[in-house]
Amino acid sequence: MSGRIEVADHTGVETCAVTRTSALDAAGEAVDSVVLLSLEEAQVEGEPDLVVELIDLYAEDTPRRLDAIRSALAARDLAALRRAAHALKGSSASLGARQVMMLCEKLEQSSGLQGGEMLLTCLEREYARVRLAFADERGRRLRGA
Amino acid sequence: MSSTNVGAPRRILVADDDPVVRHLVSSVVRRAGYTPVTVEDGREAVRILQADAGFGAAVFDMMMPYLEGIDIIRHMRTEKRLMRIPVILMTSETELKLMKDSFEAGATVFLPKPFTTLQLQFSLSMLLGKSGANREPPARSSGTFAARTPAGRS
Repeated sequence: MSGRIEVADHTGVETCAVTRTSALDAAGEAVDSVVLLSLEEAQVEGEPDLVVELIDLYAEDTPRRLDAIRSALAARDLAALRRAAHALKGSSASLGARQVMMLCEKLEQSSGLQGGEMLLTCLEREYARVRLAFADERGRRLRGA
Repeated sequence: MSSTNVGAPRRILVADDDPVVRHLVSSVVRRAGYTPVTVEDGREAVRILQADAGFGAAVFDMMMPYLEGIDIIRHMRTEKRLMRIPVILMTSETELKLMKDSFEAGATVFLPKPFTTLQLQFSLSMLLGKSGANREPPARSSGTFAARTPAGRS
């Protein structure tokens, strides 16, 4: 993994400072379009657009995963936090949502619950970007553009 | 293995609790000309295998509710009717010990996530004896793609 995520709390204001090292991250893309394009290799002829289907599944599943992370933090349940973060990491990685994936990895590897709330805030912000990017991609594909 | 494995069952058992990965794997399986049978957790995978051994291969996620992928493989390798079914084990973990443990348990291919569709296609081709096995494995930017000779096959 090329990116490094630093989460800091400066002057009481939550900050998600993401050190971006790849060309993709430098461009600030929420989703790696190369990954989405590569998924077309699995498209079965005559069936609905696979990428749209995967985006829809991700959109349906992710709020549930974020809820699980939120609940685990509230309950101070480290094992549940790791499980939930691990689950979201996998689907995010598969669809090229790299920053979400890295934040989940950070949550999964955290040895304690300290800093978890801030990571969750970062995660929610990043997911909002991903959701917008996927909405664009979905619309583009359905229009056949 | 350079020709299609004639007579091998056309169905592939796919177990993953992640709906995105499950759908993606199913699509790759169907594109390869096989029929996926999908389940959402390890316990359901074992339940199906207990009633039905007619699978050409299986694709399991490592971390699933109730039963992990590696534990399903251990179970399969103790059952005569299941021990020859080749298994791809997918995981977000890349540590070498896990890969070693997976092969010791009887996994045929260790496939770190995220994988490309080409990597999965290649793995399936190799297990199912299609000509794709003669090609070089697709490159990946991170993680490890590793395979061993499928159980009971040369």
